[in-house]
Amino acid sequence: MFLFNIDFASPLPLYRQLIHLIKLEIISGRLNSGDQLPPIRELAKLLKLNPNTVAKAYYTLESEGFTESRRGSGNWVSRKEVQLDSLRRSMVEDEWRIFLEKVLKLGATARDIRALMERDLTDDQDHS
Amino acid sequence: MIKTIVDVQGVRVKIGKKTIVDDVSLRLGRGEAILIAGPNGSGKSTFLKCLAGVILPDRGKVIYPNGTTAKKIRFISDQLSLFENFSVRQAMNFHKRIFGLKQMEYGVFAEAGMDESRKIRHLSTGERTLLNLSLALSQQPDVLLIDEVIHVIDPYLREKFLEAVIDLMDRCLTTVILVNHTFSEVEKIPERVLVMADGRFIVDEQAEELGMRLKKVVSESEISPEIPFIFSQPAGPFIEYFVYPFGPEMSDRFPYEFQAVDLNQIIKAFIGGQYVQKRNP
Amino acid sequence: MFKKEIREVFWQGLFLLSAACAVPAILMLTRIVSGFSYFQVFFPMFQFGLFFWAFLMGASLVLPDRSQNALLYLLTLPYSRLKLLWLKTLPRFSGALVFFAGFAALYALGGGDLEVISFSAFTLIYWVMFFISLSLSACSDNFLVLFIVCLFSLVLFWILVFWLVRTAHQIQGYILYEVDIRPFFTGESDTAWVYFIGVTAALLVLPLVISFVLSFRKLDIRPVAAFNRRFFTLLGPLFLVGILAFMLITVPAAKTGYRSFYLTQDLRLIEAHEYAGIKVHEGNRVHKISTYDYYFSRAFELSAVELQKALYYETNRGIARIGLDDYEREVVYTSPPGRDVFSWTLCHYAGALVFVTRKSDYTAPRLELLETESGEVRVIPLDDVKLFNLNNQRLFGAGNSDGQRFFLMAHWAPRRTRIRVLRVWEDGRIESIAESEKMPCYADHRLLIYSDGQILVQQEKDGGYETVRTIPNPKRYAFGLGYYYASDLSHPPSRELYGRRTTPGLEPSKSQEFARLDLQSYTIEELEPDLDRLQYVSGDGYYCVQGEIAEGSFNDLEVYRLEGGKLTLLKAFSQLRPSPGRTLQIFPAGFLIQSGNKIEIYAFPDLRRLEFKKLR
Repeated sequence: MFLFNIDFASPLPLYRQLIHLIKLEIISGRLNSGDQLPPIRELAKLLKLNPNTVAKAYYTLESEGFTESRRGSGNWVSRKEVQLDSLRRSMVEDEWRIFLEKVLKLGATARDIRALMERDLTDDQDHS
Repeated sequence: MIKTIVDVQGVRVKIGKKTIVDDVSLRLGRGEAILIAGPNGSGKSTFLKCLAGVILPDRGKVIYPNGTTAKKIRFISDQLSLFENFSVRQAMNFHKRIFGLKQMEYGVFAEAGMDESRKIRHLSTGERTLLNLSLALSQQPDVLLIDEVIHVIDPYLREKFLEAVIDLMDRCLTTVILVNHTFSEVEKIPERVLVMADGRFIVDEQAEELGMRLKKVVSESEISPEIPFIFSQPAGPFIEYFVYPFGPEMSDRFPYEFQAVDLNQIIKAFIGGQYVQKRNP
Repeated sequence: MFKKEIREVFWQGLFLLSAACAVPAILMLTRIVSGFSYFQVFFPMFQFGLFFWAFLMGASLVLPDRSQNALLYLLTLPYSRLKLLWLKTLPRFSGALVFFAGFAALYALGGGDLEVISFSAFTLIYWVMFFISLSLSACSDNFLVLFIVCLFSLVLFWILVFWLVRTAHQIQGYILYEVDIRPFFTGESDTAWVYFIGVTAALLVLPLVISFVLSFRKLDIRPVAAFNRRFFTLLGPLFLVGILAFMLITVPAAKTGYRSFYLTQDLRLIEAHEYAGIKVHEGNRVHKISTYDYYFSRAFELSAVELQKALYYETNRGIARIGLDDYEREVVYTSPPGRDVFSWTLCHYAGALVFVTRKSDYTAPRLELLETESGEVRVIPLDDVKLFNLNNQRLFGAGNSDGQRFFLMAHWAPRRTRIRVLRVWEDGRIESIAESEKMPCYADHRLLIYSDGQILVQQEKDGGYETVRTIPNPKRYAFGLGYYYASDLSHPPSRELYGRRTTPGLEPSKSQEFARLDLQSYTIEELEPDLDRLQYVSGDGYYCVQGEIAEGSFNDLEVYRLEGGKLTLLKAFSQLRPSPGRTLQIFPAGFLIQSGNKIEIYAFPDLRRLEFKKLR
């Protein structure tokens, strides 16, 4: 399930990358609300991360409201549906910004981008 | 406030006329994971052995202010031969008795499918390292010192090794000090990176920060002299510059692309820089 | 971990034992060695092999671990270095001890006859080897190198020990035997000497061990050079401390060793030291007699004869002379091969030394005269005299007659109850003059013979001896001139003789009844039974020394002058501080009390105390 590629070289701190990935899991539906996140130790071992990194990620997720920790049993995905939407939106926003930055650096214009979007994205995509 | 678990004060080690560890002071906290890298012969192994108490420094002290005794320090090295005449089982029992352990962890060992009745003399280096690791894990030490053993084991067991170490870190808040030459597999574990050269630490940074403060620039020609770099090398028609310390304002000021690099490259850059310094003093 | 070390030592021991047992067996089975019993081959090899064992026990402390990389592991164990040292040393020390005890047992069971070197020498060398190997065990990581270094150090060590011992004695002013080491190895040296060497060795081994222990506390896996630097830096000063301790402790002890004395007529004291030289003390000065080749006898004073400004005494091969005017020592007589001087028969008469010699098997006795002036030796065969043991004959008088010297000898065969009196002439004639029941006496040219409860006084007449007086002696007193006067055969005239009452048999009993024989009136006067021991020591009279001297030590002593049957107390030494081995030696000129190392000398006749400043 968790086959992440967390990259040391990435500009994002490791824990941020992990947070991002977990959020992806939540959004994509692979992690549903009410599901239990893997124990810190297990996730650390799996990803070859420092347990502190995982702990930090979990802590931040909890403070952002995406998970909650229950004493003695670990971390669980929060049941609040509302945040999923705003999460999705903010993540898309992030990816969009990164995309734009990259593409503009390459010299693409707004017209190029719009053309590509019209070519590949139709209203049908909404259902996929 | 993280408790200091090891306090190194002005340690100096000479072997013959050569100073191997030169006036090193360091403080390590409980539960910290540290990576020590550096060129060959920079004194990393020796330093680690000082922490283990296996080498007594000529000057300075290694203090364990938290009362960590020898029973709670474990040193793993490929040179660690144990008692050659013992069988694996005898070694385990011996270790159990001496360290007063309640039970022995056979996990990693069993993973490798090793026969307990074999004599240590007949084990390969990799197998011995695993045995050492099992002993270390059973001991649940406060401080785990790992001296260049990662690459001695095969990739499969290597992963198991690392998992075991991570397990220990979480379970016992063990301080792990890793000396290694290759970093790709371990780079995400340490929070703190030290680079040792000529018996001194030239780098002592948080791993994350290091990643942010060292960037690579690939350029066709010489870059602006205002940009500090620690190392440069030709790469085909281009020149790679390893910029350190990097500040985010540099991206705005200069037209170059400052690429992120992984730990391997970071360390290589520092080491490379050292060699260059040696050649042109 | 202790168990592991013990196990290792055990296997090593077993291996050595099997090798030690197998090799002689192989040698014997293959007939390389034949004609000996198994034990005869085994024992010396075993003794030799034990030195290797001592080396192994010491060296295996660190060496195997170092070469096997186990040292790294050991240092990661939760033991302090001192604890590690202890855990490793104890089994090895026990191993060395066990084998040593085994050797001692074998030695007691008959190996003693087969030994190559003496037991005490072996003990010292064995343990020194152990401690040297122990101390050097961390100095190398190569077994062969360590073995050679230890052997070399062992030899160097013992050279140093013997050199120090010799120097200590030289500092004290003594001269040693040329070859003083050999007795130590052959077991002929005495306990004091062995202790001396042992203490010196211990004082020199201690620095090695201490340096090792101190350096071990800093032992780590760095190359041996690091350890060696520390070890030898410590060793230097410690070694010097050891030598200093040696100087302070043992050098003063170098004055122990048996000393024999002789007090000359002119009140000079001759001191003969057991393994040093001879000194002549004169008042506050001392003259050393340099000689490397001299024979020391504990009964020096018993055979010593003072004659014409010289002292003659018996050596193991002859007679030596110490000149009292030139302080030279020379050997004046050497027994021919196969012959010995009969101990303690050295007498003198008219400037000649008179003594009896015989072959090593006690046959072919001879009376020999050594003229002190010319050095000429005249030999008179005594074929008629069968000498069966030392006490079988005694020269008791001499005289001149018909221009020739003659000597009176009392002789008895073991089962005979009578003593034969022989007159041995210078020209070789031997006459049997008389037979006596008790030891005869020659005083004032008169021969006193004991026969049937009478004393016959005989005088020379016409070449023979004739009874001129008969003294009734119902109580069978035996009179004599005293124990210490025996060597001077030319007795000066005496007015009286003293004697003890005897029982039938040759020797006077322990009877406490004494009597005086007046040599002018030839009457016997019985005395108060106060006398314990009678000594006549000076030409001017008799002295009587009373005290319980026989047991080898005494706490009271009384010296009397005995004259005319009366005892006059001259000096009483009462309540002397108890001391083991207090001895009394009486000389013609005075007497000497030796309490341990303290010497007191008193001169006759007034018993004034003599001080010799240079005497320690």
